[in-house]
Amino acid sequence: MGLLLCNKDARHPFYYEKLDIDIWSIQELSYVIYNYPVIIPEDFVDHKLTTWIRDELSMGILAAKLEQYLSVSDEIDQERLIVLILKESNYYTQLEISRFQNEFKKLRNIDKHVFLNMLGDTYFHMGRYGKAIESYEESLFLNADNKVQMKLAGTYVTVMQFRKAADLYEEIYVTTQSEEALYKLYLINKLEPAVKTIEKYIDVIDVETLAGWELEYNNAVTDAEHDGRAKEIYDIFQKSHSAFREHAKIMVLKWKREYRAKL
Amino acid sequence: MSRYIGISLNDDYTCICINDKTISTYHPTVIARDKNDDTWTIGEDAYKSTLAGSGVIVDKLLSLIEKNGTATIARVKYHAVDILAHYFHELLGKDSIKADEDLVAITIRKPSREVVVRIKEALIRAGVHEDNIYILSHTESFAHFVLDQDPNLYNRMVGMFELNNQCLYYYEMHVSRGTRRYVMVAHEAEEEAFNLDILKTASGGKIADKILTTVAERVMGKNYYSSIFLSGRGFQDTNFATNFMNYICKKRRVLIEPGMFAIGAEIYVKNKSEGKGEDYMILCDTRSKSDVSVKVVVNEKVESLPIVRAGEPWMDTCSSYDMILDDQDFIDFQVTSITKPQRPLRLRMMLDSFPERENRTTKVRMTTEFRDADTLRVTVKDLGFGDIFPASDKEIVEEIDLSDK
Repeated sequence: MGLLLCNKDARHPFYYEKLDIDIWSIQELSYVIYNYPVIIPEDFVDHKLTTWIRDELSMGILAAKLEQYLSVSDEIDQERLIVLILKESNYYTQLEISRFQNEFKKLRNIDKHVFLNMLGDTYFHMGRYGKAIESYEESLFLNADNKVQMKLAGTYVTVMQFRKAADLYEEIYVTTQSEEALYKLYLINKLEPAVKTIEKYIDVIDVETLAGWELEYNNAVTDAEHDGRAKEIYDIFQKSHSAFREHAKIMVLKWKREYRAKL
Repeated sequence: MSRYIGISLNDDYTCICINDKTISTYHPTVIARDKNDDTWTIGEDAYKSTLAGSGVIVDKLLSLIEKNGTATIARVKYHAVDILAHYFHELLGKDSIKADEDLVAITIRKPSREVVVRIKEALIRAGVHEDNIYILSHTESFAHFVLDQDPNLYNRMVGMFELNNQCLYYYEMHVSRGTRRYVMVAHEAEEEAFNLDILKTASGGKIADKILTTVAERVMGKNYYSSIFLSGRGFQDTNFATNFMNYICKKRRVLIEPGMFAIGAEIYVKNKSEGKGEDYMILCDTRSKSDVSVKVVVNEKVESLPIVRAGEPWMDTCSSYDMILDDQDFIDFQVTSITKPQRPLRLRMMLDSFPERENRTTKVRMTTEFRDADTLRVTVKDLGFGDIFPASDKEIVEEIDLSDK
């Protein structure tokens, strides 16, 4: 608890390609390292990063230490360099850094398909759905796993690729007889009536379960109707139709942009 | 060769001291511009050119700059800063004297931030380098003057009377020689101020003597003084003030220096350029009287981050720090008055109106700046956390009262 004193931000950011974001301070750099260790590339600490640390963050001593490690060793121990950055950032406690080190070590020793699955999870939580799909697909290529399939199908739904999602859920249902897969197929049909996969399996669902799903779906629709954003659009529509048309243009453009960013 | 220049400025007279702390000269604070060409004269020469009908005079230059007013001469409208720039240019003899560098300290009675900015601008336009300009109050100049004297003259309290036209002030300087050596200086205007023209007659002189004696008895009471100083044009000749002089000279030394403020300013600027530190911390109307700090965490250790140090010129004191909130939504300040160090004041500034985010992902920029000698304005701005958690740009502004209550 307290106020962590920081240096001033960099004038020019460091572009972290894996996350597609600009980083402006040593604390932000530490944050992304600590929270997304799965996506740290094997050559993360390089001369480009040390130059940025020295020139933009004015942390010459840290940059010199990192460069020294980089120059003396042929096989660079990235973990050591990353931990050095965390230690110098005045952001995480020693205890947290030790915990990170343990996690980071584990990550390096896990199977490739597990790693790719975790990578997919990380991208999904960051809202990078395109990259999440790629990771899950690669993981499945190496090792078939229903849980990963479920995640992949869920990601397809998030980016509104309902047909692909439905095919996957069907495959899962056929293999595992999972009721959840059927439920997802049912919801896909609600969201995109053209995808009728659920109709093939409707007879195997008992009436009570179906009623329960219907209720859940209706509740979700009601919640969505009362969402602040929906209300805002509805209010504009009530006030003036021409204003609504103008607003709609902007909103559609915004949603398109958001959708593209997800991919 | 560099010139060290102290200038005491008021509406009537300007007192200037250049390089020699024993000599100060007076000039009326007036400027005249020739009606036909862009020639400027100041002081007595300005009066002469006006009497000759060739010049147009502008007076009360300090009031003009305080009001940020204008003056129209020969159909040309001049802003206060333009007029004062010409005045300084002539006063410093910038055309005729080729000094390598002028280091100038201006002393005025009440230096507000706005007036200081305008005076600095005028001096820059007059040819003085920005880094060589200092603005002090009369109170601070008095402190510099006294501290430059024999230490025996200020081993206890020091008093000073300033007598100018319609202006009678009493100054007091308390000296503390504890663990932190400091002098505390303050002044007060006396209501009994009078026009110096009354000194031209014997009866007027007697009245003036009576007034000064009454004031001295009231303000000095039974206090023990190391010394008493007299300053201002009214004390260029003290023959009229027999009773007053008898009263103040009892068991103490009295020194008369009419140009004390200008000399004090010259001493300051010279010490500054020679890198001499101040033996005593000066606490006065242009200096901060308290230490202000914030507790911060550096490498898991709690440290005190000084924002304001007592004795610093408050007008030049501003700070800006970036901090990350770690499981707290407030900033605690500690204000320690130099005169009451045993009772530091703790103040909390709440930041709970900033957006709620994951812990340690709200960075704030805290900037501090003095509004006046007793009020520190603190502005805290939400910076978010880079592109990961965008800033809301919300700002919280609060003021810390540093006056000794």
